[in-house]
Amino acid sequence: MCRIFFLLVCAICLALPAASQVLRGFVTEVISGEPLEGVNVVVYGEGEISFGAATDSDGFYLLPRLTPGKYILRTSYVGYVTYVDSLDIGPGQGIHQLDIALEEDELLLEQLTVVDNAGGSTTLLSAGIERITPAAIERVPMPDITADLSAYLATLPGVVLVGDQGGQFYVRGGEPTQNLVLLDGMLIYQPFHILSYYTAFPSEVLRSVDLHAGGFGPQFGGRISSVVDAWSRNGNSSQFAASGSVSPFLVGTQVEGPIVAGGRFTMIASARQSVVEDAAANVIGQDIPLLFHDLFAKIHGRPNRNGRVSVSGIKTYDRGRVGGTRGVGAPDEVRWWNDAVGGRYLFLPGNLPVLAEFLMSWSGHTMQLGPGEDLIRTSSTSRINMEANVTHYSRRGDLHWGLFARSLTLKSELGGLYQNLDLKTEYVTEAGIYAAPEFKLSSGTSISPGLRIHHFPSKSRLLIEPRLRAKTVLGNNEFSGAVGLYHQELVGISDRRDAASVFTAWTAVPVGDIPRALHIIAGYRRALAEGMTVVTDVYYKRMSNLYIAEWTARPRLTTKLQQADGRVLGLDLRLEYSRAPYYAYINYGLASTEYEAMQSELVHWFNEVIYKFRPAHDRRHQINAMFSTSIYGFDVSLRWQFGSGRPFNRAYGFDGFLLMDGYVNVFTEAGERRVIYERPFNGVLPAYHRLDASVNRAFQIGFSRVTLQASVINVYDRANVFYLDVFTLERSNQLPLIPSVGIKVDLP
Amino acid sequence: MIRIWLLVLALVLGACDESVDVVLGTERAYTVYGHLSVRSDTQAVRVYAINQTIDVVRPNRLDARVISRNLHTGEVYTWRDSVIQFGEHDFGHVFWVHLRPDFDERHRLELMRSDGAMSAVEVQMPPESIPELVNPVITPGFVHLPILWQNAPRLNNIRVRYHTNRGVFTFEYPNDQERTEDGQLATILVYVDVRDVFREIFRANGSTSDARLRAIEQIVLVSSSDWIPPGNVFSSDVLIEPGTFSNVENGFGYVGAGYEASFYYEVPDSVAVAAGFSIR
Repeated sequence: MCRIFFLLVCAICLALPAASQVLRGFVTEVISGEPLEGVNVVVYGEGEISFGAATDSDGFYLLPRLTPGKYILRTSYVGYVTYVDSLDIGPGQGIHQLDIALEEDELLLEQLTVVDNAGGSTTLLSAGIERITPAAIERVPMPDITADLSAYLATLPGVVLVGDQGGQFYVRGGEPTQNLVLLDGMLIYQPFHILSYYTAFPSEVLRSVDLHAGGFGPQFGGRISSVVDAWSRNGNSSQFAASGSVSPFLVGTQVEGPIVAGGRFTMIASARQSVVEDAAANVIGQDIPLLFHDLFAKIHGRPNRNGRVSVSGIKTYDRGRVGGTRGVGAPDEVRWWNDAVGGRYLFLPGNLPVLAEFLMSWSGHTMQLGPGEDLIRTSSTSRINMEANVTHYSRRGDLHWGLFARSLTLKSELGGLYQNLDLKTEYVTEAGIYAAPEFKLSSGTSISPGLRIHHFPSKSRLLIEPRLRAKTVLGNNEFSGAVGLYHQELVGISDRRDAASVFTAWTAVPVGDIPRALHIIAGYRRALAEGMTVVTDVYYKRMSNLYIAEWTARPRLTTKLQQADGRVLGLDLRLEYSRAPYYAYINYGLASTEYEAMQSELVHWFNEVIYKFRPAHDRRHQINAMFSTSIYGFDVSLRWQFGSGRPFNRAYGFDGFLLMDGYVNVFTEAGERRVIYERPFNGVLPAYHRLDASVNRAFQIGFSRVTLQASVINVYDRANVFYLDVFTLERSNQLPLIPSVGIKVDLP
Repeated sequence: MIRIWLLVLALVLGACDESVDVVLGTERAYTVYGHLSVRSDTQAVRVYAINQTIDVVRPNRLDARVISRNLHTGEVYTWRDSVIQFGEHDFGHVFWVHLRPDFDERHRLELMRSDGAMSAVEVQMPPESIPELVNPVITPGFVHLPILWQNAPRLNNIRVRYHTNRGVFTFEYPNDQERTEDGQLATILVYVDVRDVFREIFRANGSTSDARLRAIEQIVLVSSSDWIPPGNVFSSDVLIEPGTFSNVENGFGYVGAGYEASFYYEVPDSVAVAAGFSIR
C-alpha cells in the first residue's frame, strides 16, 4: 500500500513538465541545524533584483525559471549574518541546489529593538490562522517553570478553556472533539492533559504551531472547528544538550544531540511527570486528584541532499477525578492514553521544481471512566494514516496538492446504552485528494481556491469541500479572508450539558446526516505606530447536524442524542505593543454561539418546534491582557484573564415522577426522581477572571545555565467556578492562589 | 465612548460576584400523582415534597396535611400519611383515605405545608358508562367490533382479551378512540389480533386446527375527560418534563379519576368462523 502510494505520487510528479533552471535548497541555523523559516532568499541578476522567495517551515526555498546568467544570492533574516554568494547558472535544464547555514549576528541581536527574535510577536498569517512561536509561549506565566502551549492558547480571544481541569478547549464556538490536533502530522486525540495548563506534548520541543481557528485549507479535513498543526524541532546537530526542571506541578527532563558524526542524524527526547497530586496539593492544602505524564522522542536525519527524514513518537497518560459527584458518592475517575508514532519523508525530486512530503503515522487513544476495578465505560480508537503532500513552484504561484488514505478502528464498551447508541467495534476507511493552487496576483496579493474530495468507501459517502483564501496588502493595511465547507464523519460523543464532562466515545456518524460547517472569516491587520499593531478577525460559522445531548428532567449524566444546528458569530481583536524591553498585548473576543435543538418533545414542553439556546461553552466576552519586561536581568510577566459567565442549567428543585398512563397503584409503583429544571441553559455562571504573575532569572554557572522562577497563579485568589453539581449543590472551583517556585538547569 | 466605559464598568462590577444560585427554589409546594376510583373503598395518592437537593430519601415525616372535599356534598376527609419503602434507599409518602366517591362527583384535594404553602387539585369523577357493541363488521377474514362506551368522557388502558380453548390472550391497545355524541367508541381489531393469537397457539400446540374462540373482552379505564396526555401518547420521555401533563395548582403531577370496566362478548359461531377459528 505504501509503495503504491509513493509510486502514484512520483508518477504524477514525473508526468509534469520538467523545469528549466531552478535554484533550491534548505536554510538552517549553523549550530543547531534547525531549519529557519521566513528567510528571504533573493537573487540579483546583472545589478537588478530578479526575484526571491521566503523559506517555509522546513527552511526550504525554491526559485524557479531562472534564466542563464550570473547572479548574486543574498539572504536576509533578522538577527542573522547575511549570506552572500555568487551563482553562475549555465544554459540547459537543471536543478541547482544550495543549502545555506546562517550564523547568528550577536552584535545585531543586542541592538535589535524588535521583539520578534527575543519573543515572537503576533504572526497572523492570514484570516483565522496564527503562527505561535515557542518564544511567544514562553512569555505567558505558568505555575511551572516550563512554558506550555496550553497557557498561550488560553490567551487567544476565540479559545475557551472551560476550566483548569479536564483538558477541553473550544475554538470559536466549536466543540473539543471538532478540533484536529496534529503533532508532526500525527493525530493526537486528547491534546491536553487533565490539568489543562499542559498540552499532551511539551512545548520545549516545539518548533512552531499554526492555529487555524477557522477557514483552514484543503490539506486539512475531517474536523469542522479548528486545526492545531504543531511541529517539533530537530535535535541539536552539533552538540549534546540536556535540561531538567522541577516545580510543585511537574518534573521534566529533555535531552538532544547528534547521533551520527557530523550531525546528519539527530535526536531529541523529553519526559514529564506530574507531581501536582502531592506537591502542589500540600502547598495549597487542597486535594488535587490529578496525575499525568508524557514521553516524546524524535529522530531526524539528512540521508542525502535531496531528502529529510524523521520519526516521532509520543505516549501520554492522564488520570483524575474531574467535576462533581453527579449524585451521591465520589466523582467519576477518568483515565486516558494517547499513543502515536509517525514518520515523515521530505523529498526533492532530482529534476523537478517540486517538494514532496510523505507522512505515515499510527495514532491510538483509549479513555476509561469509572474506578479501576469497576469500569463504567471504555472507548478506544486507532488510526493509520498515509498521506502525500506535494508543492509545485512557479513564479506566478504554487500548486499544493495531495493524497491521503486512512483506516480507523473504533471500539467502545459502554456498559449498556449510552447516548442511545449501542456502540461496538467499527472499521472505517477513508481516502481523498485535495488541490489548492495559490495565485500570486501582485506583490502582497494572493488568492488560493481549493477543493478537497473525501471518500468513505466503508460508508459509501463522498464529501466535496470547496475552500477559498485570499490576502492583499494595501499600504499599511493587510486584508485577508477565507471561506470553506467542512464535514466531520467521525464524531466524539459526549455529554456537554455541563461542559465539564470529559469522557468521549468516538464513532462514525451514528444516525442522520454528517456534521457540517461553513466558515466565513475576514481578517485585518495594521501597524498603527512603531511597535504597535492591531489585528482583528470577524468570523461566522454555520454548523449543521451536530450531535448534542437530548434534554431530560431525569437526574442522570448521560442521555440520548439529538441533532441540532448552530451558528457562531464573533470578533477577535488584538492590540499589541512590542518595543524592547516591553512587550504587551490585549486580546478581546466577542462571540455568540447559539444552538437550535430539534428534539421531538420540544413542542409539548415549550410549545416550540425548534428551541434556541446558548450552549455551555458560549462565552460572550473574553479579555486577555499580557505584559512582560526585563528588569535588571529579571524577566517579569503578568497576565490577566477575564471571561464573562457561561450558561448553565439551573433547577427550581427536585421531586419525583410517576407515569400516569392508566391505573397506577401508588402503593407499589416506585416512580423515579426528577429535576425541575428551569429552561435549558438559562442560568449564567459568575464571570471568570484571574491574574497570574511570574519572575524568571537565569544564571550562568560554569557550563550550565540555571533558571529560577517564582510564580503566583490566581494572585487575588478569585473563586472561579469550574463545575456545579446541580444534584448535590456541590461547587467545584478552579485552582486557588498557588505560589510556586521552580528551577531549571540546562546543560551545557 | 461613555457607553463603552459603562459597559466596562458593568463587566467589572458584575465580575466581582462569585456566588451562584444553582437551585432557585420554587413557591410550588408538592408534586402529586394518583387517581380516584368509584370501584375502590380506599383512595390514595403519592406525594413528593419539592426539595432543594436530591439527597437519599429517608423515611422522615413529610410536612404535609392532606384533605379532600366533596364539592357536591361539602364533606371533608382527612387523608393519612404512610411511608412506603420501594427499595433499599427509596422511600415514598402515600396519603390515603377510606372513601368511595360516586359517579359524576367532583372532589378537591388540598395539600398544605406548615408554612401555609398549598397545592391543590380538583378531580371530576366520570359518569357510569354502559358498553355496547355497535355496527360490527363481520366478513370472512375481516372482523372488527366497535364498542361504544356510553357517556364515557375518555378511555385509557384499553386492552382486549381473547378467551379460547387454548388459553387467554391479551393485547394492549393504543388509546385510539372516537368521540361520539353518546360516548367513546373503541374498536376491537379482531382481524389483526387473530394472527398473533394463532401464532401463540401454534407455538404452544403445534397446530391451530382445533382452536375455538369463546369470547372477546375489552377492558378499559373509564377516565375523567382531562386524562389525555399531549400527543395522546403516554411517553415517559415526554411527560417527565415538569408541567407537561399536570393538573395540580401550585404544584406538579397529575391526579385523575377513573374506574376499570369491561365489555364481555360471547362470540357467536358465525363470528368465530369469520375470524378464522374452528367451531367443532
